[in-house]
Amino acid sequence: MTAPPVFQLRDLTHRYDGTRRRPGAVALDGVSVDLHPGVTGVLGLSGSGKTTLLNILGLLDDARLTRGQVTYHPAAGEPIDYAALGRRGRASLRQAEFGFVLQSALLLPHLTCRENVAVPLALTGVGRAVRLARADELLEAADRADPTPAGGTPRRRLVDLRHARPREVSGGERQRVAVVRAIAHDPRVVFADEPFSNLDPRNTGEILDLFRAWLGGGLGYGRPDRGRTLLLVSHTVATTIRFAAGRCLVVRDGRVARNPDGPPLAPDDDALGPTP
Amino acid sequence: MPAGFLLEFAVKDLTAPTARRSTLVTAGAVGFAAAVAVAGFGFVRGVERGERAAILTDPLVFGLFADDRSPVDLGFGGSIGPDDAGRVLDLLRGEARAGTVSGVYPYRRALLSTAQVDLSGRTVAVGPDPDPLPKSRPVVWGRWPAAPADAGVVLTPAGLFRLGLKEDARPEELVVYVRRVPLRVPVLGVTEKSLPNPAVSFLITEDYYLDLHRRAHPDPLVKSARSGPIPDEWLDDGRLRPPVRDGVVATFPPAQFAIKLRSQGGLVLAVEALTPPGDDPRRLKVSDWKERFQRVRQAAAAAKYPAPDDFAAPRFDEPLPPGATAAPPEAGVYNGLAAYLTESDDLIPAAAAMGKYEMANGDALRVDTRSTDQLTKVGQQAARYRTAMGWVVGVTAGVIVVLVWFLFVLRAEQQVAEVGMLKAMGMRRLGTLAVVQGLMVGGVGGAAGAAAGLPVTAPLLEWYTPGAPAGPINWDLAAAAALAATAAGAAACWTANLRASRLSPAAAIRFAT
Repeated sequence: MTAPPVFQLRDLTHRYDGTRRRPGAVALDGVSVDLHPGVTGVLGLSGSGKTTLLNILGLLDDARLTRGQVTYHPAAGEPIDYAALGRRGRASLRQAEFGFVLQSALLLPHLTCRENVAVPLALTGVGRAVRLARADELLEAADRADPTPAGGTPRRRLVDLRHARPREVSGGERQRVAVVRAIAHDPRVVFADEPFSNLDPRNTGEILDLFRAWLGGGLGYGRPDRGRTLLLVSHTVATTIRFAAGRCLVVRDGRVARNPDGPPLAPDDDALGPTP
Repeated sequence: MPAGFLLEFAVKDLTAPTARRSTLVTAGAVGFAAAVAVAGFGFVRGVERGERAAILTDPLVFGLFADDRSPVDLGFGGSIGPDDAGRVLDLLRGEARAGTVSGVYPYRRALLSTAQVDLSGRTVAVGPDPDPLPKSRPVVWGRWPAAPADAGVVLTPAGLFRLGLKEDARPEELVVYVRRVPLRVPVLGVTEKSLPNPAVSFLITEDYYLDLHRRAHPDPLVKSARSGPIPDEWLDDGRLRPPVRDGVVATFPPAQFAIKLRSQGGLVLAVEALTPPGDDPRRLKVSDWKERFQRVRQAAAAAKYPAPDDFAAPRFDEPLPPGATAAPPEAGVYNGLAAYLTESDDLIPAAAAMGKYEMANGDALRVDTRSTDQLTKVGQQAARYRTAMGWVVGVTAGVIVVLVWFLFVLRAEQQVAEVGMLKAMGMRRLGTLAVVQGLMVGGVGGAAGAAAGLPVTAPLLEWYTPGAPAGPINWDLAAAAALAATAAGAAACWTANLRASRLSPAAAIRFAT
């Protein structure tokens, strides 16, 4: 690939916190990989280090790296070495460049769905009226991006749920709102860690539709693609391989078992390898 | 995080349906502590204010009285020179705040009658009529006092025995402790046999008529202390009579309230009223007198009688009317000085200054400490009340702060995953958010509690001292309590959220899952 990578990982090694006598277990061991714009699936067995990798790349873990280097290449400007970032710099980078979708939607219970979607905009200083209007637009765009299939059971539109609080909507709807929230400020990178592990196939499909619309700039952001990147961690291997068009990073025991820049995986490949 | 979003976020977080109840409980607990503080300290302040005000309105304790109390001059003499009053006035004005010393006046004390006193100094009986005992108890040595011009005691055989003296002892003086003050009392004689009442061991001449210089009788209770020439119709047999006239006369004949000044068994100046002919002939207590005088004042007001301040004669601190002359002090007549102050806080320094004054004969003035003792007692009592109330409020506030902190901790732990997600989205200043929420809960609760505590003070004071004035509203206390509650709320919320706000986003999210 000629385009510069979004993330450049070199000899990334990370141990969990431990004591001097009993050092923490190795979570990542000598990971060197380039992650490019677009969708990259992150696959691996439980405990293989996928979430640790995402936490490090997403700056969610304050612990220092044991060894190695992570460099983020923004769409414009100088590359950013994670080791040089302070607490404030990490928060600023997360706020401006990243979005997160986790296994649990983690919507704020005291805000309505539209207010939840508007939170990332509020954090960047967008005024209340503007950000709420933008949240409504995003919810409508999300509904358009994921129309009810012909003959399917009609589902509630997100825009109709905008005044509902999270506890008043279903799990699938919560997760869809969480996806819209993650992409509301049009981040460069979205980290999705098991976003549909609790969802049925239909809701999974809707979540993927939303990601697809965001990646394609179809949610009305009105600005060119800056190299939108989705790092998708999932145990739903075939779905992930299919969505990532075979570009997957496979992690096994904290090491890179398969580089995403290699030949594409097929959905029916035994991507995770033998179960230990 | 923009300030507007921070405020909106804080309010919505506190008022969300799931959080409303705990917010109300938290604010209510903070408010309760503030209400207890305002009501409690307001009550203590009201009690102290009332006690201090009572000192200024009670003629028994208002003034400072000092005299030359050498045994020889007990009730007699004239050691106060013409210039002593002026010098003491200058002395006091140097000690007290400007304008709080109304005046210093010499007085003469003269014996009126005898009193029976037991060995502990307690007055058993007092009366204007000399005791009839001299007729039935002849002395074997010395003489009975010839009131009103005699001073000293007549001992009985029982008194000699109790004093550890032999039956044939003939002491010339005794040391008697009256209110812990040693008093050297001349012995006038010894009776042949003991008195019928075994508790009474000797007699002491202790009833004085006080003739205040300028014939003015200070009466701070009714603020009718007058000086200078007094209209003849105000005088009744040499004693001041309140100027009750016209419509009031029908209700309270003037003779009913003839007033004289005298000392009591405790050797302290007292005020007493005489009942009119035909009424209960017993002497009134001072409290009765106050009550009656209050009734006179009410009746006078109802009859549109001039207020005491409108009386014609000038007060002590006012110049004499044109053409009027005051009788010049006479040398060798006065044996006491009375000082009058308008501020209770100045009584103690004034008493100390008065006690240092040396008279022309070289003796120091001996100051009656009743008023200063009363003031000290009030101060000590108020300090005790404040300390006790401090404990009550402190323990209450402490328990409530712990409760509030615990509620905030519970809230923080419930929301730690959401906080983690907020941090993942780049939100900072979570500590500020916690402080803002604490300020809101503490501020609203504290203000409401302080406002609720304000009206509680008056009923508490009324319960403690029926009829006492409630005094001004303690806005300063309410403001202080509200501020303290606000600060405590902010501190509790901030510390309760410290752990959650220090977690990394990943750790916070992991914490919840």
